[in-house]
Amino acid sequence: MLIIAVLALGNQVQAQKYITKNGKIHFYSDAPTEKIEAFNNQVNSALDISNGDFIFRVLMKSFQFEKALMQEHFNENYVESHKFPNATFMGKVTNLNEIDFSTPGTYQAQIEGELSIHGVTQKISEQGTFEVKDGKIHGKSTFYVAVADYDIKIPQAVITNISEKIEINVDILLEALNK
Amino acid sequence: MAVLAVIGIAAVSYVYVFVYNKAHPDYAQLEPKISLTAENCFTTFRTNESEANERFVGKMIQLSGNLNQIEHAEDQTIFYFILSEGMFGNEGVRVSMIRDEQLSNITAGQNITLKGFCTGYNQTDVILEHGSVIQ
Repeated sequence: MLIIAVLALGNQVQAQKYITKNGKIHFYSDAPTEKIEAFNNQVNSALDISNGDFIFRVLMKSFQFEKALMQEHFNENYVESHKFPNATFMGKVTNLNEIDFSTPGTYQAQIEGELSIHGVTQKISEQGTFEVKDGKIHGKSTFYVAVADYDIKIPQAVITNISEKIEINVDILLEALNK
Repeated sequence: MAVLAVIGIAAVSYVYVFVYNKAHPDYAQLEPKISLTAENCFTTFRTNESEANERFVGKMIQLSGNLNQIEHAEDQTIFYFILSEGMFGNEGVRVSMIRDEQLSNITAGQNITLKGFCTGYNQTDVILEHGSVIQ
């Protein structure tokens, strides 16, 4: 169903689309007894500047942790990446009229949509910035995700090792899709 | 009592070093579990994703094929086997390569055999991490 929806979205946004396949997502958990972070440098994202459609697709197994054990626990126990291999965001830039993608500069962006992680979809509304420069769009955003909202269960034994809210940092350099 | 203390310290040290702090695999030294063409791998994900997940994801796999594109993005080098076209432009198999001097000898357009750790299919591309050239 998601694939059909994404493909349908794709058909709507051929004209002025900017994409990346090397987007970066970094997440950070700052809990009382441990700090945990992970990086993913192969994030797909597309933005249609004509209507504000904005999507992300992230392979959970591509997150790299400093400690191998944490990476194992993340994939096998928490996000169950064998069952739910992708996280996706499908939404819109809602203040498109305040952003001039034809003029270099840094613009505040309001983004709303549905974030799906671990098979659970939640509506989110977040702030970010778009820097327009050299024909590219550099998008950045930092926001927080509560693990409980996505039915991610943390065992009682490690409850103090993992923050209830995870900081998510998104950094994408979008380039025009020439088709 | 002293013996128990020594055993306790040894046990905690073992857990800390070999469990909690165990190292990531040395991906360059991992033997591939499966060998196939990049096209075959991509087609399997497109036609039967659950079978492909079972066969390839979380495993070191060996791929061969014509390397269409080499991308440099900050500190990473991506080898790209382009096999189709879709909403994100090109589609195929993307391999994030381990930094290696040998990479500078590889050019787009040549036939290549490499290995990489498969992390899945993002509905556009099959993604391999920790790639290294075999020949």
